[in-house]
Amino acid sequence: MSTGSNALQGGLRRILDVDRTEAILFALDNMIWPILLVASIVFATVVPVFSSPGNIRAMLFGTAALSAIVLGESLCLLSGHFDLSVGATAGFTAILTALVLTEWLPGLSGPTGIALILSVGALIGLINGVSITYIGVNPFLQTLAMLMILSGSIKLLSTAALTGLPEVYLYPGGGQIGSIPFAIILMAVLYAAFGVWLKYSAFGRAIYAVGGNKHAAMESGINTTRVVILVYVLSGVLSALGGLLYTGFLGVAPPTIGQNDVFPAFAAAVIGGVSLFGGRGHVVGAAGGVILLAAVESALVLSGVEATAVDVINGVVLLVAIIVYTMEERIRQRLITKS
Amino acid sequence: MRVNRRTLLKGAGASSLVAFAGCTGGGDGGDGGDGGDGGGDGGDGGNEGTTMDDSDGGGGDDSYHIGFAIMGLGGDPWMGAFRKGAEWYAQDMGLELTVTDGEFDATKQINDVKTLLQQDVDAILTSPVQSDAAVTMVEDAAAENVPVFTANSTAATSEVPLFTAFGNADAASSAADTLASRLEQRYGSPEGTVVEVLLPQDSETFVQRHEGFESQISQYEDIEVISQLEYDQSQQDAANKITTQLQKDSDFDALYCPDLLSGLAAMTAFENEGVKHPIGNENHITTVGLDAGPSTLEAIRNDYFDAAIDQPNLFYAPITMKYVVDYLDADKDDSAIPDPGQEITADDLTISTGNKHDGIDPWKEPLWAPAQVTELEFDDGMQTYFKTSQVVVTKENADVPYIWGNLA
Repeated sequence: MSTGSNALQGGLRRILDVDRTEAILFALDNMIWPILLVASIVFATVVPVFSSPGNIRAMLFGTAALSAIVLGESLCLLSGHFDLSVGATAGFTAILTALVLTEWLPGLSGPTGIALILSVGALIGLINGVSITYIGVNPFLQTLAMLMILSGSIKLLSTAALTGLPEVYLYPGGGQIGSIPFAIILMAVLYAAFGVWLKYSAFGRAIYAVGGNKHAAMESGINTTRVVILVYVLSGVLSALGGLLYTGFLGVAPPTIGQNDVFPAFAAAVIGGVSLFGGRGHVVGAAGGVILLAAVESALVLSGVEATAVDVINGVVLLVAIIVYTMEERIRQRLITKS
Repeated sequence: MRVNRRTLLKGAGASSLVAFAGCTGGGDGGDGGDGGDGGGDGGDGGNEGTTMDDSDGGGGDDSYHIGFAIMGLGGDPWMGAFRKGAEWYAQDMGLELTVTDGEFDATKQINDVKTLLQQDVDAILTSPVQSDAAVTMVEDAAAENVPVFTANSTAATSEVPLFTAFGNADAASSAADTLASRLEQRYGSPEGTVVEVLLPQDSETFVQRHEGFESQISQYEDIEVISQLEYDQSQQDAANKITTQLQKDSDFDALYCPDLLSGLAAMTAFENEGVKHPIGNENHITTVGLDAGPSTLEAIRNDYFDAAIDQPNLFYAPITMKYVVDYLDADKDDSAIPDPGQEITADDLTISTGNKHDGIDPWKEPLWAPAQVTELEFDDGMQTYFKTSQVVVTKENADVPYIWGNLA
């Protein structure tokens, strides 16, 4: 009897331990949200206008395009890869499509333009994916080369902002439903959809599997080549979507679109809990990373911090975030080893 | 050995050549110097530049070869127009021109110049990214007996025979005066609150565009700069920063935009926040900026943008190239360079070649004139500064075809 009781107690303890471990792991995986909450409370206390609906709307509207690019980068990171060309893809697809719509084939409709920009993004992603998988080019070198090709091409295509784009084409980035920008709604839906897809679809789980251990994924029957190519295609499409949203937000297509977005794309994904080494993290967390970066930026401007000091403070915030996540990684490893 | 090219330009488009009186001094041919050994010091094998020949100019193999080490091109229509001015003038005058893109990186630009020196250029025209670092370029070129002229920005050395520009600090200062004048028109006296957008303070040009404005606007006691917003040279970032400022305080009276992109971003932010009101509306935010690009001109025409201070960038390279040719013709004698203290008028100096580019003669209207020839002092001596005039672009003159923004 006592033996049975001990066994029951031991079992319960193990279950409780496992539950506690899972709870801690869950908390660690979603650490971005309490951080964002605390940061927001602090910012709102220091500068009350920070939490005004207008400012929140402005923050989300202003970062909708970047969040599309971050989503693409997050998919790459989850699969154990990365894409340095996301910003350049956004800029190149935006300029190319704007040229087509305004100068090369000015009669084309807005929806055709939208289809074109996304298709060009898909093509760029396909080239990256095929080159990495079939030719075996290192992802860093492949996407770096693509970044350079696309950045140079932007300069060749136009040095001036392109205007006169169709209203329908501008709508996704600049249109509003009531007082809510369409871009915010679109990105909220996309993040939610990708979150569900990654968690519940076989292909989504395959992306995590490839990112966690590519060799094991291959041995378990996953077509890793197909997964990687599709991830890069999606990254290209989402980057192009970023270009489309930028264009709509600005009302024109300047050649500077996306030029500074590689760093924030990585930073937002990592701050949001997506592992740089693949296989772990949630895209919804990456959305939290984008919002946190925007919140810091907004708070600094609102609080009147000297303009030239903003970059320093941004760097400090990022460093703190990296230290926190490095600590989190250690805790995670310890918990997993223990359990 | 470098082949020594003679000054045989005189037959090329001579009717349109310089009519500058009284201070050229040279122009009798000369031998163009001894050329040096052409070795240079290697460079990095990077950007070898874009070369255009002189097929329309008639100079053939005898024309001068000028290297144009521009500070940066990417995404900057102002620099694009600066480059176009050089290319069109070279085409008209039968000059061989090789353009390199410094990508706003002083090190890259120094390597560009090294590469140009290996390409047997007779002279270099450059707009340095950083004036102190650019001294290295001048020294490298001097070792090859190649003169370095500057335009738009300069190198901190007296070894530069001539620097041509209106000047970023002066343009920014002029923007401050224009902004004050606009506020005076609205309120009866120059008063109000101003938000200043800043370019990254890591380039002399950008620092000058801030300091020129800051020092001049501080002369107006009743104008207060309430906020400074530094942006990363992307229109999106500037729009976000201005939008955030509007959330904080949308009651400011005026906005200073130090470049094209920030000006356009202001229009985006105003529109997105519902505060884009035309001039005359009591809620209008007076907006003054530097550089009148196409979209800025459109905003000026539509009464949303008050004024833009424009430098005659289409003239910078041609004016400098004209003096480069004179200088080479004069066997690199300083007599070809105008003397400090002079005022050069359109009657003294003709840049127009009479040829059309993009449908018009881009130099028909001498927007640069009059120019004052002064000197800049550096540690090693004085540098001659050909200071052009500026253009204040408002609704009244936004349509004239000779503003570069209408050509871009």
